[in-house]
Amino acid sequence: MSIRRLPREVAERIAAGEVIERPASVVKELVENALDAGARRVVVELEDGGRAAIRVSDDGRGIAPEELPLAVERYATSKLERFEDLERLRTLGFRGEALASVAAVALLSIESRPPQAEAGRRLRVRAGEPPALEPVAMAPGTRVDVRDLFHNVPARRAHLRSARAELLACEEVVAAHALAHPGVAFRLLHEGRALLETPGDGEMRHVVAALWGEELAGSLRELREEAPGPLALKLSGLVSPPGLGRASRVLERFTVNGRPVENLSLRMAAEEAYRNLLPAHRHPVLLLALELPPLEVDVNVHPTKRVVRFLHERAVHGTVYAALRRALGGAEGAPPAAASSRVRETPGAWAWRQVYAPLDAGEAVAAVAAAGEAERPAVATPAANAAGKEGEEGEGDEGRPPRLRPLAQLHGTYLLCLGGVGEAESLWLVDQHAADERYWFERLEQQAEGEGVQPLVAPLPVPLDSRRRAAWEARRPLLEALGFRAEEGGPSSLWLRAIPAGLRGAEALFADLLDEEAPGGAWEERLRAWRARVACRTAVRAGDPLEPEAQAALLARWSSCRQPWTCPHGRPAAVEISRAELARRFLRR
Amino acid sequence: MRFRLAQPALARLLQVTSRIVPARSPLPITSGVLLRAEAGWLEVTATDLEMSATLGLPATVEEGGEAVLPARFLSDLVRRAPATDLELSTQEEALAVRLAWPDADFVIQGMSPDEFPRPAAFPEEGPAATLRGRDLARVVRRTFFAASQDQARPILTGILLEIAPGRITALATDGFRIARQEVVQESSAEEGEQEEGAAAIGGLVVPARSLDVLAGLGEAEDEIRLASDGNRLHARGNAFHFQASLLQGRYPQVLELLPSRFVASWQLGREELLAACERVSLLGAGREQAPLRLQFGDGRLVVAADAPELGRAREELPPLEEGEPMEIAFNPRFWMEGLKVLEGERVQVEMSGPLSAARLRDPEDGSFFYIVMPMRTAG
Repeated sequence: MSIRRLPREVAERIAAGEVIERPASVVKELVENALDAGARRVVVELEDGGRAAIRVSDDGRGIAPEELPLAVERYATSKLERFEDLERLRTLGFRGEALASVAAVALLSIESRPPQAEAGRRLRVRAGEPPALEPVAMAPGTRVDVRDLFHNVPARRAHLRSARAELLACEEVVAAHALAHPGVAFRLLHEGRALLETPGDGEMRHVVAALWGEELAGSLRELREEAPGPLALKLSGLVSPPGLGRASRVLERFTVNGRPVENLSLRMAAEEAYRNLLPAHRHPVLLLALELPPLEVDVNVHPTKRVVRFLHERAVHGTVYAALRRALGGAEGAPPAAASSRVRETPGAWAWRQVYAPLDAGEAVAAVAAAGEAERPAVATPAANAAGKEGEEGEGDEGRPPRLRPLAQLHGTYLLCLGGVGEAESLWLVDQHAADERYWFERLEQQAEGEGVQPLVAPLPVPLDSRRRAAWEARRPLLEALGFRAEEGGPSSLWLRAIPAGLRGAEALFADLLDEEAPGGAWEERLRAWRARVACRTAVRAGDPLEPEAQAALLARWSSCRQPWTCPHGRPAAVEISRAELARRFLRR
Repeated sequence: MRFRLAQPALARLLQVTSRIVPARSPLPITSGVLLRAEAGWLEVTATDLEMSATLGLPATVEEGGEAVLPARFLSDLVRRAPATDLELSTQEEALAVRLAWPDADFVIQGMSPDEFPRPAAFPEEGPAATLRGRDLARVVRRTFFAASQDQARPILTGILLEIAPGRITALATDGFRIARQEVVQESSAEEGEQEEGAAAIGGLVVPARSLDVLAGLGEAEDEIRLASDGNRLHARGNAFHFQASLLQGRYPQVLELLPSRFVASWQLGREELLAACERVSLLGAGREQAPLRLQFGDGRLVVAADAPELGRAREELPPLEEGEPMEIAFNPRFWMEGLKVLEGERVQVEMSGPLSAARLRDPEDGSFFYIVMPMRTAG
């Protein structure tokens, strides 16, 4: 076969395949065009999962009649003039391929009316035919109608999945864009039935409520930060509090300059920030919008623009991680002061809601002061004050639990407590092991390496076999970082000379740390894993009977934790049963 | 069973015994006290299965017999009863006991005396020693706090008692500090007979909690006779019999490994030092990881602490006697408990290095010392 130039039509069909794979790709391109046109309302209508028809209408600035034919030509765009413009790009599209690609593989009709024009124009395009233009009566904006997708590419058409699957993919695209643009009202209809509708009032929380329910929306924390410095990264969004996790990563979403994206380093930053705050194999809910100068982002990595690269990948990673830790009340500082709009609580939520700070923290401090007790360490006050400002909604945010008064121990495991005062008074259940484990974990974490080492009056012998000896040699730096000191006392024993201060049962624990499988990963990660293990062993166990004084002491040390709400493995440490909760259960309202 | 006894006497008996009654127990009967009346004598017994105490008092017994009544309730009721003669008598109904005084009548449902675990008899054979109640109380009180509360090494939750004729020594350690008190009994050896029954009872490890109870019971007694049957420590006084299970196992030879010489020895006013340490350590209250740092040198002692996020504290004290310079840090609780248990005006602080054991003692009293391990602070 000799080499020859492909006919234009064939080449276009092949090229279109890169951009348009399935109905969802069409939806994505059209929605992005609508957004780039400054739309405040975007309506997506589908038939047969988008296989039969896709219609996207917007109220954007429209296309001038004389430019309409150009719109469907390949590499024709209003978004870019010179190559250098790519670096300043703020629009979602820029390649000028979208409509041309759609036109190559489907029946396309575009109706558009700029606001200043008196009427609209309709452009009909059939692959290989000259476009036809005709006037049409319509509201300002643009409506794009795509029918019979892949009618001329049977192979593609055959590979389309069921209407249901394709619909799901389209829905996903609309949802992702709705999240990325809370200020735009989205509406998705399938065969006339509304599947999704967002208010477009600029509140991401309302978008979340519309997409996944108000309960989830109400439980998320708001995050808003501007990183100073050359990066000029603005970060905003909603994140799940510690302890609230999902079995999948589906709700870990990032947008960069209004574009839903995938980026491994963002995902890693998120997972790291939630480490020890979520149980294993649980993932946070995370809707984060990043805004940064276009120069800092390369979106032209993949035809679908779904994957982005950052110029300063590490800096972005670090900023996101730190911001998340702050938002989660982590070690990096006080929680950010962010007022959040509150979503109505779903009535009839019977399940005991896990709490993340149910009480106006200012009140708690006042209550403690009134009681004349200094059990709460002074350090709680600034954080609590900061939280107090935003705690007006009662929904509360970050911060620490109120001072809890233990009432009883249930199943030898849960401490029943009263917390808060007045309206905010509520019943609490504290998992004694999880709470104490959290305390120990933070205590180990806070002490610098080599600090908090408590030498023993008499060394403790630890029997050594060859396996243990090898483990000792390999793990010595890690064990020493935790606070253990030992030396070999002959061929078959090790003398334990110092232990981490405050540890219970150090001898047996030390032996176990030699015997157990060593954690993997980077140094910090391994250290963290072992701190968690030491904390678990040192903490009061489930089933340990505790006298009232011991209960009070446990609660006091727990409430001084920075991250009191979960144990290091991410299980919840406390559950609050609020006044409202009880009122509902007793049908008082 | 039917007897009469004055309210204050019975109230005291019940108050003392109910200290032993466990808050919760796998054996419900132990939530009760056993009352036993016999020939002009009433005995009350309580046990938590690890120890038991029987206290006796003369009473007007009309009919001998036994009953087991709920300890807390009985103690609370008798304590609130008027100061008059109380009468207790078993009733027709099974296990019920009537408690009455003029104008009042309570019937209390009891438990079966057959189920009550009986203390073993005092071993009349074998080695025994006699000592004064207050000497026993003293050795216990001055070492009790240093015993471990960590069940991981049960042996350390006990106090090691060495009893030799004319001398009793107690030692407790939790692995981080050691308290040791010795009491030499004022010689009663003039009466040759007493020496006969006096034998050395060495190496008994008695749970600290049990000894604390015993110290309370026997403090006022002139003579307490101690004996061991290998599994239990028995103590008998005029009006009580106490026994406690011994902790089995080898008590570590902690004193052998300590420095034989201390290179730095300073003397300070004990109360001033304690007060300064208490103020400085307030900063890290509730957080044991904030060590108390002591800098001995330049004619002064600087006590300092800093807690991240909380602040810094520093106080200076003039020594009474100066020694070699030393920088050392301690767990504030361990350090201050030693200062508190000392009684004299002065404290001798002896150290041999920032990571070696330090010793606290009263320069005027050789019967007690306290060893405390420093804490490593950095590096």
